[in-house]
Amino acid sequence: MFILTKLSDLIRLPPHTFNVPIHQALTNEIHKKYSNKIIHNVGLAISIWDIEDIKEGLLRPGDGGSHVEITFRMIVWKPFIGELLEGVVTDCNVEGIKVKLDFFDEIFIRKEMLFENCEFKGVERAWCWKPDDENELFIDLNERIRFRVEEEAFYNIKPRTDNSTTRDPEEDEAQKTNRTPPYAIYASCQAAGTGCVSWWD
Amino acid sequence: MKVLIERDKFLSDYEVLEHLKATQNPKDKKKSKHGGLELEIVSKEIISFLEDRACSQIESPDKFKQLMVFLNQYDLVKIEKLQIMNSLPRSMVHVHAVIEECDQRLNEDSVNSLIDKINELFPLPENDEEDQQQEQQSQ
Repeated sequence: MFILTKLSDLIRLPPHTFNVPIHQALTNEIHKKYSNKIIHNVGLAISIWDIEDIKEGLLRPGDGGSHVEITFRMIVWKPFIGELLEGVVTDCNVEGIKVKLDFFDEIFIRKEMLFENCEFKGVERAWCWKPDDENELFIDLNERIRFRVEEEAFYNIKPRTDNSTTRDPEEDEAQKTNRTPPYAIYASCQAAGTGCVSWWD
Repeated sequence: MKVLIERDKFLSDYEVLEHLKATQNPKDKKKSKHGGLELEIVSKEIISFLEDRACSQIESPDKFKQLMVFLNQYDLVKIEKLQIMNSLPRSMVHVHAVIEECDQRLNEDSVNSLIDKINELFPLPENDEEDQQQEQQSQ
């Protein structure tokens, strides 16, 4: 679900953009700053919707840029609790299922949130649902899955300190893969209509 | 940065798709590149995501309005209508999943007429094949 969020910010316009119309210049700067980033406790910012108010630009001693306070509305992706979404399964393990959308990867379905009578098959690396004794329905990798959003979690990532660049690059890489995502969604697959899309058509 | 209103308005998938397509207009290609790489990436991904979803079947704002007017006759919450507009459910299970306590609030006829209306306004291209298959099976 996409929503509009009203934000205000002080944007620095670099001198070389002074010849560009101010709406265009501000839109570009805002896109550079916000697009594809998580706004803490709001959601994933995508693109500007409209500009509501532009104040006079301010100058700072020793800085050629103009600082403009602006009020604008941003398209933000933020699913609400209880929303039904469709994604693609990227990983199955004992803990549960990981799902991604084209633009968002951090969706988890924990094992407690799956249907009753669900079992993880280690050999196939897939979860399997047994609606009755005879049938076995597999949730395989790359399958389209429909799920309900249950919980969202924001994690405030602190700016990196300077000495991090001197660290071992391997360690850095490991940290990148293991770190807590700034925005994660926990979902469930327990009701009729959820689960693999192909089951219900 | 200050968040003034966290949720000012809801947007439907269709509106977002149209907006992003308009900003990616090839005429303005030079302009749009100044928004930076991240904007390019995210709008490309969102467009490909949305084109894969039900909202790409909506051909014109007019048809969108027609379905909305049709939905207004039922006692639905705003968010449920929006979810119907976004996902255009075509099966009983899907409608029941989208609408909370559907069996108590809507009777079977209205769910069926809702699905019929969606099929009428936004016909699926491969519908014919499916029908034929079903006919063959029933024969």
